[in-house]
Amino acid sequence: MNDPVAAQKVATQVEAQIGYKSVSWQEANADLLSTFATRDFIVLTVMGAMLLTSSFATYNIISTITHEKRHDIAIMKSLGMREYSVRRIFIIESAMMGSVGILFGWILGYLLCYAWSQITIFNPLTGATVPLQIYYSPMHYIASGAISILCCAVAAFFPARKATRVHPVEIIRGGS
Amino acid sequence: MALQVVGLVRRVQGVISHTLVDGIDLSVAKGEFLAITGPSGSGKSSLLYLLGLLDAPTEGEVIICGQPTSKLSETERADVRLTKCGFVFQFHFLLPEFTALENVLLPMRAYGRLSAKEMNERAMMLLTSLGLAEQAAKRPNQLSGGQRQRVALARALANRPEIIVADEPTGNLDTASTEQVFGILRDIADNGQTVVVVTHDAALAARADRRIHIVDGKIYETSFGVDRKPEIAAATGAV
Repeated sequence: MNDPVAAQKVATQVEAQIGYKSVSWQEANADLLSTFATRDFIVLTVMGAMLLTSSFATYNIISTITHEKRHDIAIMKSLGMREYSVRRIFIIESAMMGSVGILFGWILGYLLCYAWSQITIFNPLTGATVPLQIYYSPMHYIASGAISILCCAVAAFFPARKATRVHPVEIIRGGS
Repeated sequence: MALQVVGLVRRVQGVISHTLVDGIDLSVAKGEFLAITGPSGSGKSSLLYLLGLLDAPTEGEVIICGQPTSKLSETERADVRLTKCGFVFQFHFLLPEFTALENVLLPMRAYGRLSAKEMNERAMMLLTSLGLAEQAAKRPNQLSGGQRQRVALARALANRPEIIVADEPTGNLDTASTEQVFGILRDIADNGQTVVVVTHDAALAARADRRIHIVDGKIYETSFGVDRKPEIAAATGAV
């Protein structure tokens, strides 16, 4: 077959034509395939939890930075800079931090994949010893980078907005 | 009138409502040097923040160069601050990670009307006129208190504001620096920009065109400086 995914459809057609039971590879391995689905779900949940954790870390960092810089925020607002301009500074800072993390993540991810590809397994069906097949794709890197930057920007947005909303007078009065 | 204040009231809501400014009327002429004095907690800084549009009044109106401002949104208020008011604080007035020149460039960058070259030229001109040409590339932590205060003044002047508002500008300075800063403020006023200063220094206040003394959020008394120019006197009359 040219298209492995169409096996299910072809099996039904063959069955109708020749009267014998036809089984596609998907049906024969239904158990295995359902474990893949479960695995995908677990992996996504774990990755989601990790992203959430690092988003909280970003939120925390930006909260700390904007608190330390509250006098600078007061100065910028007092000279007439608009709130969104001041807020944007911290979101860009967060995106820059995120970019460094993404770069490290890409390199580490690639190195891990390469390490796994060096592992060999003995296939009892064919009698050959083959290395693990690792599927590389630029989409993995693009998607992970895009999602990470988005999380960084969103996690930074809330503390940045809270900090830049404060009236400069309150910061000045709050203690020099 | 550069600056006019009508029935200004500022109350803060806390557990108990506290009135900071309790009904003030004021007219300040273009090029007038006004000093605001008063005991601690009298509301003089609160009045100053209202005049500089850093704060919005609870009641009353602040009119800057004929434009009423109490109904403006935060963004509109920021825009007026950028072009019409130059604010000088007593503490924490310079961004520590930027050089003196970069600090002075900040309002011009925010306004975005001049080219990079024009902004740099204007910033250097301002710093030079305040005796800080050598300090342009230095960070605030490399400057003395008097130098920092002059950089803050240069920054306040960057966008050619109609009004300079200063909160205790000589509060932390020695006598020589105080004299220097006062002289600069005097020159700014003589140049046609309005200067409003809060100060504890009675001697300084006496040398302004007009001094108002605030007690409990109201004007307690007004006095006029001996050096007051005739045209300022004519513009403001006896108010």
